[in-house]
Amino acid sequence: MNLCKMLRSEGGRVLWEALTPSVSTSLHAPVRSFHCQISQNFAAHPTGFGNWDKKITVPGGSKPLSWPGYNERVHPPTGEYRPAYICHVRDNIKYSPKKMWYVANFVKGLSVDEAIKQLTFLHTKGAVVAKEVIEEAVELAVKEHNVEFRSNLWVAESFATKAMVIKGYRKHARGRFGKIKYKYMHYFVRLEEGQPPKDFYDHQEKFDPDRML
Amino acid sequence: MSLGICLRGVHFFNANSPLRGVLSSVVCLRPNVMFDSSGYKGIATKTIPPMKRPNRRPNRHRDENFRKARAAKVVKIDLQDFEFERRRYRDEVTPEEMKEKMAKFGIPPATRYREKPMYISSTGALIDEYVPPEGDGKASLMSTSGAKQMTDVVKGKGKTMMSIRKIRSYHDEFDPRDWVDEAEEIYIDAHNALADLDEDKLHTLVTEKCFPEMMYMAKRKTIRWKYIKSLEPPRVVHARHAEIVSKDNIFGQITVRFHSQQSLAIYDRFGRLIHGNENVVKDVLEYCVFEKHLSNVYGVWRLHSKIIPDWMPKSEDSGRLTYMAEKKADKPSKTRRKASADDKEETNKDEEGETLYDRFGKILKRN
Repeated sequence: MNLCKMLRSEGGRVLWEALTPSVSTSLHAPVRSFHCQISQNFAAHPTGFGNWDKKITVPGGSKPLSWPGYNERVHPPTGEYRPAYICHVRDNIKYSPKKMWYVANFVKGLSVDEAIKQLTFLHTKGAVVAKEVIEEAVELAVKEHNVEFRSNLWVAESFATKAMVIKGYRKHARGRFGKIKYKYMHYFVRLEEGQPPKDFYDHQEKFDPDRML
Repeated sequence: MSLGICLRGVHFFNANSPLRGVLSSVVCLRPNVMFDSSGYKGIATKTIPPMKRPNRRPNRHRDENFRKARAAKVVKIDLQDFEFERRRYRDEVTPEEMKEKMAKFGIPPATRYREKPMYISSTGALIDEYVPPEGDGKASLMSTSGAKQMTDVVKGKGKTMMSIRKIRSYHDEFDPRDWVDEAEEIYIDAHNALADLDEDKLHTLVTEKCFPEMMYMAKRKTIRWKYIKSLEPPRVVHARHAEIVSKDNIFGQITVRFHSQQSLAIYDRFGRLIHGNENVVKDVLEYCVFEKHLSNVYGVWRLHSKIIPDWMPKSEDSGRLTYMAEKKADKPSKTRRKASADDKEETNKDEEGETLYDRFGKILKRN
């Protein structure tokens, strides 16, 4: 963590006041070592507090993300039933996240079989990507996360975020240039065990055809 | 290019048109369409006048000759191929393709022979595996067969005795009868470390052969294991030693028989029980092999393997979370829960409810 950021925060101010005058006069070496000591006490890992809070790169991927880390969380048995969930991601796909938004929302709240079926007949590049990611997630669920029936899964969360954007250019008339953005995205999916809930879209206003507009 | 005779709303096709073979026999019934080879002109485009360009500015937008120039407007960039990594993970990349990629990056191909120092810290197998006698652990100690099982292995001239002597040559006061208590401790510590998923501790208690076998599929689970008590004192049943690679490099393996009471419960990642039960105590008969690198001064006795004989009953089908509900033979219906008076009524109703037939089979009264 940046020394300046730390000192700007409230905790930092308290720290600064607690330091003895002899230390405060020589800014760099003693303060830095004190700062290092503190950060080591807080967390065993650079981010977060446990093995499950580390950023993980999905095999075959290139970017370490926190999303696959949710799969490492082990919930202790408390007697209450907890449905299985699997978080999967594919990073750096050459497609626009804005175009993927339509596909991601299309698939939300559907059972996995229905989602794959529908995506097969949605003729966009994003649909191909989403279908592959969901199929991979289903395989992971059955092999590693003790999901009994591969049809007994539904898409709980599905979204795409912006990944890197590479900038290129094109020539226009009269010596002018136009910027071209080559957009990449990450596609995230979370599958949950069970049948999809019927009230998934209940927060939306239901359209009643008999209602007078 | 003369047209045919114009009948009322009907035009014949021009004999010189390219489609005469197909359509010459067909009579066109749409009066205003004229099939002209100079270009199709329908009604819709009639009102849009063509754009007038000055002589100095030629229209290169659709000219075939300028396709390359149009393409050259966009400055081509080599985009990073992320799909390559994904395919490589799935083993869909051929070695030739890999070589091409490496050549592009300027990385020379990997040399075939790479010398790597190897350290043998454990034999990967069991030396002369012990075959447990059938029916072991089932006969009581008082019977003759039970008594035979209890024969002391320490006395005798066989290979086991020779191996124990070999071990004694490295450790002066090695007595198998005292050592079994230490072995039991190692066994309990190793299983507790597995339940805690403490890999560092497990490496000190268990050999390199045993570690992956124990940790297989243990990663995302909660394991609760309890060693309740031992039913019989542990016994050394088998001992062997072997030289690995060179003459003085000796590994010793001792098989110990444990008969104990344990309880095991394994929960999956979400706290759902998949194997065993915390409240069920089971009698466990096991043959555990401990190994030590005798020639090594810092060698320690570690759990190496477990021998599972064929006659041992197989563990139950575990991992299933869904069960078929048993069908109950007599399902009490809601009506029958009423008082007996109602029951009488119901029987009457049953009689009334039947369809009545006369002697000819004709229906007299329906249900």
